[in-house]
Amino acid sequence: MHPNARLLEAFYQAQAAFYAGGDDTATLRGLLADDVAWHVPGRSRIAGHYHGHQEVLGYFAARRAHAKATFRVLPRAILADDQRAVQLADGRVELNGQVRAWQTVGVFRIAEGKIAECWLLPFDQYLFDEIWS
Amino acid sequence: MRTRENVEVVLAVFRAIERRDAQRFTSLIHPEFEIRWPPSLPYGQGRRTWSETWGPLQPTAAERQMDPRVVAASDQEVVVLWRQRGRSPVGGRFDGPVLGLYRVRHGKLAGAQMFHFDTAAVAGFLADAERDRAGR
Repeated sequence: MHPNARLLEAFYQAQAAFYAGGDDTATLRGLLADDVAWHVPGRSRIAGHYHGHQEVLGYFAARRAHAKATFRVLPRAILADDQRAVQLADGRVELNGQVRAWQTVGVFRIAEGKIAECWLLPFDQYLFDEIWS
Repeated sequence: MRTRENVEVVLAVFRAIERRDAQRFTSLIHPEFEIRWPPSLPYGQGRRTWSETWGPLQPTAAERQMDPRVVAASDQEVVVLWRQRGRSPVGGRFDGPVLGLYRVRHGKLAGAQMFHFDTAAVAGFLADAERDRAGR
């Protein structure tokens, strides 16, 4: 497995623990570059461009709060080379007693062994916006 | 090395589309080829095709140019960043990135799924273009 694929696996494990209600942000911070940037498209409450540890972790916390810790990312595959990694994943959340699911691709730029930038691309933007609004 | 061959197949498909070379395109496609577009877009899933939708909106080579760039590849899949371009009947322009996930089997393109950076912008452009065409 490519080292950048291992990096993403470690990231998703730490993120999954955080989304499930864990409070270990140190592990997450250790996997993100200091000037990390996160791009979330669409028109939902979580859409936007986030820069630096504080904003990116704030974005993770906002998703966790909106989903009341029911948000789960179910990785399907990782493709990686020396500069980039692509994560195919399904997302699932329980809102108002109803399970909602969607598909995304995360495109990651990796620099010096850390995640430097991520573009999150939902397959169905309208569904994603509806779930996260 | 199968990864390199997969990349070559996918890039050849892009060239065939850009050149509107239907014969070459068909020769690169697996008999069970399946493509998935976001359901919020007005094509795919048994409705009109991407070609029927975008063909009239790509009158010149400039709009047909897709600028494919391989983002990642494996022995089964290739991820390509490409650009969707179009020009409406009244001259409005669209130029936006799309991330395509391509599955290659036995040297042929067997599947594709498209992820747009701004699906709403694509849908909005197409709706405007449709209104422009109807108003002519």
